[in-house]
Amino acid sequence: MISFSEVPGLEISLFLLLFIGLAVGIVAGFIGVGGGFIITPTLIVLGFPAEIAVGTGLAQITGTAVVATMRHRQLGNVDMRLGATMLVGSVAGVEGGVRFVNWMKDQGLADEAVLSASLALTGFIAVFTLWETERARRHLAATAAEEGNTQREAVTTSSLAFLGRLRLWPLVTLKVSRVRVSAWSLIGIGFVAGMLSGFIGVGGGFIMGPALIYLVGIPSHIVVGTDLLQIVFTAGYGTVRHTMSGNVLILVSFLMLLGSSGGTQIGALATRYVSGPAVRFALALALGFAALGTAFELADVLTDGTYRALDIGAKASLFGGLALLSTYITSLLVLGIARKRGSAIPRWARPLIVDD
Amino acid sequence: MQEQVDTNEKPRSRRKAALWALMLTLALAGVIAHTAYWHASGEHADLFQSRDARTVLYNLGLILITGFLLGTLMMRLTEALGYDVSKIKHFSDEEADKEILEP
Repeated sequence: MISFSEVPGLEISLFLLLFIGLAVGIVAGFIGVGGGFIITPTLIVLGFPAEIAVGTGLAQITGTAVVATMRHRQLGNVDMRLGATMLVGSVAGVEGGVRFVNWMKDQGLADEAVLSASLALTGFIAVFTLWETERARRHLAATAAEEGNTQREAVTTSSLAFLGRLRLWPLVTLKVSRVRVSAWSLIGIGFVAGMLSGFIGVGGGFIMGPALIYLVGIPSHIVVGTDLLQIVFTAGYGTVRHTMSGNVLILVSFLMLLGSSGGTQIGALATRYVSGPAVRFALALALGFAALGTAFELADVLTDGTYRALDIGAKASLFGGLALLSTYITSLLVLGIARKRGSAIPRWARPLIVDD
Repeated sequence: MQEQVDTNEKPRSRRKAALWALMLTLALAGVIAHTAYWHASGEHADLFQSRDARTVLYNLGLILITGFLLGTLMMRLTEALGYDVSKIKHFSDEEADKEILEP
């Protein structure tokens, strides 16, 4: 057990922190998020004060994003030009988000506002991504039955990619993603994602990811790697701001980072064997569990902790979700390697594992 | 097999990667020892209270350096183990998987 003179009365197991780091790393490396929307409520549930949970989580996310970006760059999943263009908007957005949350704090509405915004956003993106992913999975299954192999990517909502078709000067040619798009579309997505991430206290990957896939038309795998590159800067900036406010317990961030470094390797390497919908399905699941956990937590805050079942529900959603997702992603990696070696894989996994 | 590199073909590269992994492990052990010592000695608590430029540089520096060391260590470890990491083919008309690790 470790204790902290910075937060009197707080004691936590070293191995629990390493385990949380490992599980979050697997999810982060696979779906291209920092994992803030899971880490923050998890640390709160473990007894960390909310502001310390946000600041400490952001510091850990920065390190995890560095580790995962290095591996994704090796896999060819990072579009540097896309990342650099979005960065212009996202850094400005984070600052705007931080100022907005401080203004809400002055109004005495910060907790309710942050939890409600987080719940609405994660819930909406989770439901939409789950619906679209199921359609894409069926499409891939049908194609695989006709052609005998599973394609890398399938998006069934290309009509939504209006930002990708916008022809407002200056246009940026993204050679890696094979898209020519207005810089304003990317700066705008970066700004909105940055603003929301500064407001809710997350890296912003779960907002940027679906926006780039559905509104611009970037392939899922490239979105994963490029998101992580963005998160290094947005979460890094958040770490600086929270350190200045005394919200970062660096030992906790450090220990979780040690755990997550192994997890990100499993997550990132698994992307090599899977189709785009498999990545988006994991994203939808992660958001669904986070939304459920946040809903329980919000209800707990609004009822002043009267009902113990709400606290148990929050813990079950967050820890159960992490365990389920880690198992799903690790299984995909194992099945992907098995398929490459010519072994048979279960029927449910066939539309999710690619053949190339 | 695409995942397994023939050990006879690239023994020098794998040996070099193993040496790098060893050096990076030692560097990481140093960082871990430093972090544990500063927590035990109360330096972290002092930094937490001061909230100045030194604290910002220390926190960000520690996380970025550790992330970089861990990331490099993981890449060298997979290389030393003979796991071949190649670029993903994102589009159907792309060239076949191109090896991007040093030969």
